[in-house]
Amino acid sequence: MKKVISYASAVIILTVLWGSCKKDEQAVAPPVPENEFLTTVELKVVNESDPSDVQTASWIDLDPDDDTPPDVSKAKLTLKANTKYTVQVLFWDDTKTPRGDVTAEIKERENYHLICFTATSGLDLTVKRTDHDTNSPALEVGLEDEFTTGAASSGTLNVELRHQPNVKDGTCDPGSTDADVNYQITIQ
Amino acid sequence: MNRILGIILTMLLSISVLSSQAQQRRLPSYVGITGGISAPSGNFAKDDYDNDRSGFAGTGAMAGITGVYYFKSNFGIGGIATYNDYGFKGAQSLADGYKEAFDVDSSTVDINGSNHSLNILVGPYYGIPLNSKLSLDVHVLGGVVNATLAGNTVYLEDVENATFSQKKATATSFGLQAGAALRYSVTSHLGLMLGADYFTSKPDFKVENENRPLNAGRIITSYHEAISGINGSLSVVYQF
Repeated sequence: MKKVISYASAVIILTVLWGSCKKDEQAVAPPVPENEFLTTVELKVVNESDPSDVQTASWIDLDPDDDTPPDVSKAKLTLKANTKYTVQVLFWDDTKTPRGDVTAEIKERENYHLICFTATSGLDLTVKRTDHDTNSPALEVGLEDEFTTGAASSGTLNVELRHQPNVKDGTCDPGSTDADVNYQITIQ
Repeated sequence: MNRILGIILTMLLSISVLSSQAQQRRLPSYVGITGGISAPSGNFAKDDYDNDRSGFAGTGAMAGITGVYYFKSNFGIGGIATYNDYGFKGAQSLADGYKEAFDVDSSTVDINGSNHSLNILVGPYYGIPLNSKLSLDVHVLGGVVNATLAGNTVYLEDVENATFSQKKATATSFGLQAGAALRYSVTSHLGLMLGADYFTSKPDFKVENENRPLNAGRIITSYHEAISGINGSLSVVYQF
């Protein structure tokens, strides 16, 4: 019976030691192969003074992993001088049929995405983002914008989709780039 | 909880009637060490990233001291002081959830500490002698529970300055425990006990977080769920 007492005491002591010696746990969620791509970036612009004046510029790269350059033949806009335009930035996966709506996913994840616009110095174009996310305070997103043209000019507008998980602060600096495309803009 | 207490009180009455024919003797009092498993239940034991009520507590260990002083009527007063460690269950669920929530390639979650509680409970005991060496001790206890929720730190791959964390949180509340144990008198002064208890408390945790500037990903700022479950224990006691 003394053995039973000894065993019972050992069980209790080992239980205490086991509880106190456990290491802190760590878990890793590893990368998984993607099944969705961002192949097409569109700018859909509507003249605020003439809603029938609608243009769409498309930047397309159906296979970003190979050496084939993107199709920029439709990445052009001709805008009227001294005019305001309502603009939507649209993202698609054109490897799928029907095309995959990546814009909706970015909208769902707007709290850590930001679209940044940079016009070359010769282009008289001002871009203002008009949509906001649900952070507190709310930050701009850039899926919906307003272009304001000035005098006749031409140049390149760079559009960059920034992915800013837990680091979005309203500026374009933090995070990484999900898409980086250029459009040729002519104002006349 | 009320149903369980009702069942225990009914058992008490039934057994006391049945044992009224047994030889009447004062049960020995005891003090000793106790240890065993602690199995939480309910939301506290869930590990669902999408459920803010999940407590991520797993089945763990408990250990402590126990003691009771019996009066001549087989009623006694006693208590326990135990440390229950529930570990942390479901860190992978957190890692997968944060990876999806922030749309990153990979995430790593480090769990800081464990879910645990320190319990000091006292209350009435009733001992039922079954034969010269065996007795059944039943009890209902109340007292103080000081509980801790584990913290965690989340790293998002390839994102500078994005690391965020949920700090460990501690809260104190009233707790209840009810159960029974079979006691075998090895000698007049040495006993072995095998018991089971239901425990419950509901601490009100305030949870602090670091570097959570955005409205994205799971975040809790308070936790107010029952910490309940079953303890299974083995005790070695000195009887007097």
